[in-house]
Amino acid sequence: MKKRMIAMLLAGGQGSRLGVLTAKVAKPAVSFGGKYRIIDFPLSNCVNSNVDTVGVLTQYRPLRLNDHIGIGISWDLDRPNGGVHILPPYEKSSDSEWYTGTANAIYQNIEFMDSYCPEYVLILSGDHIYKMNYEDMLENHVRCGASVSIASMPVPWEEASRFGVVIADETGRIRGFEEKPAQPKSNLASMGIYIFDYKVLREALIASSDVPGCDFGKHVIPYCFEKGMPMYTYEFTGYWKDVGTLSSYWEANMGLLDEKPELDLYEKFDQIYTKTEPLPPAYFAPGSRVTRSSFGDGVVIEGTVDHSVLGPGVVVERGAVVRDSVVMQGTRIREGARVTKAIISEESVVGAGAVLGEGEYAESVFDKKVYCSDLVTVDEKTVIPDGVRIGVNTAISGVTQEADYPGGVLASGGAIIKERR
Amino acid sequence: MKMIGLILAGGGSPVREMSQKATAALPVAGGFNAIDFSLSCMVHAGITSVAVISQVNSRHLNHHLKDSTWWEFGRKKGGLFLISPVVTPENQSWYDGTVEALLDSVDFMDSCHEPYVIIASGDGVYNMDFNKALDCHIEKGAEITIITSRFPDGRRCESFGQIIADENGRVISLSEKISERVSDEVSCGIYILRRRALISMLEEARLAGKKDFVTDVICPRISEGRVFACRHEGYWNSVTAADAYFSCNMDFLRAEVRKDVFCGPSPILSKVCDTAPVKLLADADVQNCIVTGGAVIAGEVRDSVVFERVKIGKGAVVRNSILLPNTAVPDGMHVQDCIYAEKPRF
Repeated sequence: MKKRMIAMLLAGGQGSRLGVLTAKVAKPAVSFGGKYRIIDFPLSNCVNSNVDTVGVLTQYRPLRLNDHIGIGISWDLDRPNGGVHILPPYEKSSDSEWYTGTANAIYQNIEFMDSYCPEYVLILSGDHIYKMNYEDMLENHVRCGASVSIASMPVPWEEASRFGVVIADETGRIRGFEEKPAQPKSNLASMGIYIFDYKVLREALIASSDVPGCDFGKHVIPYCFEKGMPMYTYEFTGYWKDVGTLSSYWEANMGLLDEKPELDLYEKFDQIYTKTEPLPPAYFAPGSRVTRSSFGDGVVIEGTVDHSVLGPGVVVERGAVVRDSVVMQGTRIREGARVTKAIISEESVVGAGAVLGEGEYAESVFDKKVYCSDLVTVDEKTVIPDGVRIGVNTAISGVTQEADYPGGVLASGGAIIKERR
Repeated sequence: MKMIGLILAGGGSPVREMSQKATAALPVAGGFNAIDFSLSCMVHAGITSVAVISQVNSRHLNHHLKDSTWWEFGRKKGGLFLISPVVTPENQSWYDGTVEALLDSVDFMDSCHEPYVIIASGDGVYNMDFNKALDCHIEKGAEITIITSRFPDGRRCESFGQIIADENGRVISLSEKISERVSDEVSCGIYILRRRALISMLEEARLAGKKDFVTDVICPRISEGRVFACRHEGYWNSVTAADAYFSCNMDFLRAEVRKDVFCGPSPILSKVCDTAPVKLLADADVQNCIVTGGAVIAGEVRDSVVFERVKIGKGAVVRNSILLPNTAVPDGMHVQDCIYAEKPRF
């Protein structure tokens, strides 16, 4: 079955800078915006761009991801020809290995790509929140006569040194790359979205197959560049967010609550699809006070919620107050609890009268790289006992008991991680 | 697999604002269509073959049902069958009564092998275990079992078949749509019979020129003593009249009704319509309301049912109302005691 363009979606990474949020699920499967998961954005973009064949490469903790994607019904990707395919690493008669890098993962699936005889292959990652039409990018690719196209977006000059930037001439042809440059020559940040002529990609992957941890940005793109292939940038100016850290994840969620958010989930075209269960409608009880917030189906709100994103089935009991927080599906905030600037993952319970996210900032004693904001991060299926006080920049995972909180307190910068089988 | 299902979904909308829809396709309790309740109960009871018999304005209903996988149909075995009146050289008209409608499903019933049929209507709102009702039917040795409910609050007698049964559940009388209140028990319009028996009852009625399934087929058999009532203790209502449509939706503001229907034996399934989250803006004040996906609220809403993708503007005040899907309440407008159907103008 021949396809003009197929997509390969890299969804195997942990996203370790999301801390306990990705302790048990791959980053692409993390909830976002109440009822979505991060991978819904690239998957929906594919469907909205008429890309009907998508290989999803999984490796780290794929259970939730597999369950979410299923056979692709939610995205209309259950198709007799093409559709969505989950591609985990597999055992071979010799040289069996995990996916050791982004390009290596694609290399190990050459057989899959071959079966669709594509002219073009779109490389995506399951880490970003954006709406983009890949058909437009392909059109640009064809018009320029490119072998490789790299989507890029202009970022403020002072931030350019945080990204891999592409240097392009006025026609869009790429003249050079810089990885996190101290003195950037360009402010066009690469978005990690590539279109390759499949012949070029195939040849480059095979030629680089011996490179350990073969990566697109580090190896395959430079390889194509050195060969003098026509490489063009496709400039994108819409909404695009990397939600790779706890604070960027939190900010991107909060951004949805603006009256006119940058990312509009309410328009009828370019809709974002997700797997949804038919749940009862949201219920707001008498005495509830709810402002500047969004809610999944099936929530029951008896308390106060302000400036927060709540997932499906969340319950906020009487007298509880939730502010500036992300609360994912199925979590219950018990009576009188006070939650401020928290990210609470799925199916957790915050005990009655517990106070989260109040106190002075303190450096994390657990993991400074991951926890470096004033957020409280709570893992899925976590239980926080009644009446405890939890400071800022903290992490909690597992079924905790009062004994885990000396004096009923978890000080700012602290963490309680309970191992579970 | 002991039963097949028939759903009578022929009625036209009692709500003027939605006159283009069949009753079974009316939105109920946020995100659901009336027919979802009967369908979901059938699915939960392990029924894999269901025929929906529609008549008036079936376009919305067909659209709702066309992707039957949401109710776990669309399998290799069984499935959802849509039956509607067909004009032939011999038959130039719509169904002339429920007997004729049911007769149209005889081919479907013939093709099945399950011994029992459950007939339900497409406008009932409830969540019950049909297998328990079947057990009751078998245990009593009934020829026909009628599912009954206590008389719904504040409703007129004419909408219902009132049932008087003895302590054993044996039906003594069934008074269809009379103005006098004679019983506190009403028929839910849900019946269990043997499949073969139903086919022959229908054939017999056709030959005798009988038209109505209840008065011409069930009522004459009551005296034989094998028509039994099986009481459904949970919530039940039907949206066959405009006031009933209003009160049924409002019932879902009560926690016990939501619990009974949404946490009952079967999850209520429906076609997923990919709405964005519900969003409440800075000046929103929403109390005692159910709100469905995609709604964006900036005003004050009390004691109301808000359906999907409704927009409520700043300074708008909504009280004791039902806001139908895809409607918009402009800034500053007051809406009270309404079924609100105003679409946004662009």
